[in-house]
Amino acid sequence: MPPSTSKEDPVQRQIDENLKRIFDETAQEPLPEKLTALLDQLRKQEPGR
Amino acid sequence: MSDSDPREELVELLPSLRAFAMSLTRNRSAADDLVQDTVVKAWSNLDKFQTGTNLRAWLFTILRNTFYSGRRKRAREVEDGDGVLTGQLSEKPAHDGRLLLRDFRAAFDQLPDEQREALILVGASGFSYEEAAETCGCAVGTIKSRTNRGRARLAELMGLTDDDAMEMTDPATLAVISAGRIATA
Repeated sequence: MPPSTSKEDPVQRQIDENLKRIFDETAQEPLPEKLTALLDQLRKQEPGR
Repeated sequence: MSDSDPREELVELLPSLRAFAMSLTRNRSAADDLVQDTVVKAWSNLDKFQTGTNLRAWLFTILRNTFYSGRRKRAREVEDGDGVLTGQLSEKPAHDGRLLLRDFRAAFDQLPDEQREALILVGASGFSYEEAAETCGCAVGTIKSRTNRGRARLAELMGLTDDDAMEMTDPATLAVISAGRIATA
């Protein structure tokens, strides 16, 4: 269970909202090409598994 | 989940893994290098991963270990101790009650590593305290105190107090508070 964000503490709620925003800024970006190329390469290395 | 291909599950976790890497490295290209290294390690060790256990915690742990061992090899980094950034970064939260994200990120980047990782795991990516403790190799209580200290420090750096938060959410309270301030001034 995720720890519940205290509804009684507006400061903590604001901080966690902003943490999510800086996290999502990166998490919502498409993966960089270098990384997708690496994944393709790794998939090819393991044929038939 | 148990019969899903862990490789595909791993790929689905990469966006959040990148976000975690960003919070540790505070630098985009370093974060991407770190994710690349992590993917290579994880991929070649997937046979050691036990299906049905927590792939996300496993993956984040590999990234975290890679980050810290890589950094130990490099020069010792200066940790932000107390006092480096004691001032407030912004005057007040923005009018809509949201903090200015740039200020917030700057404040976040000043926190010590162990507080940043605890905050991102628990506060942003939805890890339970138990999962975060597993990922960081420490006790649940340690994670709790790191997130609490991190939140308190961010509140301090952003100049956030309970009063501010009340003001922003409740104009009536604001009126009462300002009236009180004038009366006592």
